[in-house]
Amino acid sequence: MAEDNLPDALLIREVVRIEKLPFEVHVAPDGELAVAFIEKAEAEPGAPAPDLLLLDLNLPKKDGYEVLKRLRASAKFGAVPVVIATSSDAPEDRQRASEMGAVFFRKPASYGEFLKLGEVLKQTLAGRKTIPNPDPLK
Amino acid sequence: MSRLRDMPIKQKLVIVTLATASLALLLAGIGNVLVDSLLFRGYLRRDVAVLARVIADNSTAALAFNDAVAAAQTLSALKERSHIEAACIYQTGGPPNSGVFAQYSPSAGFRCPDMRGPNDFSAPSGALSLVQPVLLEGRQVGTLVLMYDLGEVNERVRLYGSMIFGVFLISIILAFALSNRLRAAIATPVARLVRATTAVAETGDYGVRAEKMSGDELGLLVDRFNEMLARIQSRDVDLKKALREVEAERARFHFMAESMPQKIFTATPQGDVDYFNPQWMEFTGLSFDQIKGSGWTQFVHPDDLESSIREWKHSVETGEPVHLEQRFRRADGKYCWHLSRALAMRDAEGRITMWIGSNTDIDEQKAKEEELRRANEDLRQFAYSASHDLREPIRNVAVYSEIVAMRYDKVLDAEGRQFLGFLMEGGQRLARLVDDLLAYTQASLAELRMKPVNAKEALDGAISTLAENIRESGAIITSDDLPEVYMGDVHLQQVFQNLIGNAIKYRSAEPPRIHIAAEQAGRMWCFVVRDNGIGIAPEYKEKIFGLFKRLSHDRKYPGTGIGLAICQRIVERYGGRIWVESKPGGGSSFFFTVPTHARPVRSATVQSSGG
Repeated sequence: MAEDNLPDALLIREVVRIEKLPFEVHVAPDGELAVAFIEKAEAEPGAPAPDLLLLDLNLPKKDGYEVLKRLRASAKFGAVPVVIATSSDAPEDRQRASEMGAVFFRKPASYGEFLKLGEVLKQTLAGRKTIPNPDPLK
Repeated sequence: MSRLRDMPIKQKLVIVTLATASLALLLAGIGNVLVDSLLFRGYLRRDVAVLARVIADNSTAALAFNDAVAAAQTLSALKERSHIEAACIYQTGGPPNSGVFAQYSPSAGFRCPDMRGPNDFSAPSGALSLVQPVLLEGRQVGTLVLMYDLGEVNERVRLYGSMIFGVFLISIILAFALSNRLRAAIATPVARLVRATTAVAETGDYGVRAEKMSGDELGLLVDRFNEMLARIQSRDVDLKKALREVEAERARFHFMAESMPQKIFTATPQGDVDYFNPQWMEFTGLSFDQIKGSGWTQFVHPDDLESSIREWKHSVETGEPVHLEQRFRRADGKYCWHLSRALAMRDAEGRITMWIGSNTDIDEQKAKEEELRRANEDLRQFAYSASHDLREPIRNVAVYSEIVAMRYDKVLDAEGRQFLGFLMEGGQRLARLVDDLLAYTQASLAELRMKPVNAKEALDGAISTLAENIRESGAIITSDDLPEVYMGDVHLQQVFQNLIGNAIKYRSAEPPRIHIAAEQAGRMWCFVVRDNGIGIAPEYKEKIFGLFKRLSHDRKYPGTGIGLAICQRIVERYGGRIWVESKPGGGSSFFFTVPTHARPVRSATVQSSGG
């Protein structure tokens, strides 16, 4: 998970826990550290390797797109599924995410809605590139 | 010959008359004299021959009896004939060379020449002679020779000549007199005609008329001439009137061109500028002579010059209107944006007679456009940042207050729970406000991605989004067949969603019944979303589309007051409008128009390729 906002990171961890997703969650609090995590995984066989990247767009140092670009350029992890979880619902972000083969999840302002991220993660992991977005407008 | 051609008609008449008369008389006289002299000559010859025969017969006895006196007497009868110059009788069979037997001549001292042989006579030089044998019972007894001249013929010719000359003279005089009369009949009307034409030519007064003097061709000529003058006079009047009008029109054009703030020019059909109004000279600081023709190219911005020349050439070749924006250099060196337009003026046959163009200074407008573009860009940037940065803390407040309420409810007292309630509600409300505000900004700023949109699908999308509200309220939503329209699909769905959401929110005591229909109105589809809700009082029909305008602050109707403003913004961006028909308690009908498929197909291709 590339996420700089601690409350969000905690929420996401909670989602993973509640949904009993088989993940070990590694949090990179900025873009550079996210890229470093990928590079380390590429270089060192023993290092933890990503099965799914949960990406915030608004990251310090390197934004989410740069991280995503780096991941897609990777020979080893280029095909890893990506879920972009962001505050934004700007059409340009939705379009860019789909162009880069990522699933778009807009972080909602209610706990109940946030829990739906679990379903998104499950389906993404199950190999569905895109899922019908529950609310394209809001 | 040319002298004759340039002579006045009256002299020509005299000369022609006299020449004709003289020639006729001369030919007639000569012919007469010739014929007469020939006839008379023949007559004289025949006379001499008859005389010779008569005298020869009368002289037979005298010769037989050798009576020379009687012979001479016979010959003397010839004195009546003036053309006989001499007569000689020679005796044949007499003594050899007996010579002249008898002779006659009016002139004394004449001697007949000797015969050279029988019937062989040679007259003295210049004289004509006739030899007549004198026979007696078939035997020649002598020879008569008559010598004569034709002086009488000449005499006669002279006499005739004098007579003809006299007649000639009298004829010429008569002809001269006659030609003077003719002159009066022909030359005078012609001269008057000439005077009339001269007067017209010199004074330009087409009111002059020539006086008619006769009913012949000349009279006809005068009539036609006068008719022609009358026609010219009327045409002259029309022409002067038309000229005055043209002049007035010209003056009006110049006044207009010179008094308006715009820059005006005209050009020839070939594209050479032949008029600039004074505003041009004032703006450029150049003289007309410097910028006429294609001199305008010198004050066009170098970056705009190529396209300006290309467009202008294209229009001159095709006759299509000019419409372009270009920068012109002002006298102080600053380049100012201008909107240039030019139209071809055509005559009745459709040929281009001139170009007329205007150049409007749009520099300020351009600057404002740029300013607006920048402001929009800033706003877009702001909206994007807000979308990311503003939502995050709000979300944290909303979600974590919720979590606290769920997990720590037991440790809070009543007041703490109330305060936490405020926090939660405030956080949720703030999140909705930011969402709606950003949606409104998006509706204002988003590129219009026009494409065919099935309105039924957009409606279904809206219904599925509102599924929970619909289920809770027990709303029944129906629709007619809905058309394909031309706009961004998300936008149409958003309009439906906001209107149906409102219809559910502002429902009456009965379960909401909402019906959606559409009908074509020219190039637009007009949609209506009709409900059986609480309705809207007339005084609020306009207000409800304003930002943050909510008719009720009752908790029963939660909302931010942005939904209808978003609808209006979206519809207006596609060239449509939105309005409501309603009465309190009688339900509301929200109408909005959006483009049909047909119209913007072309611009859509451009738009979608750009987006």
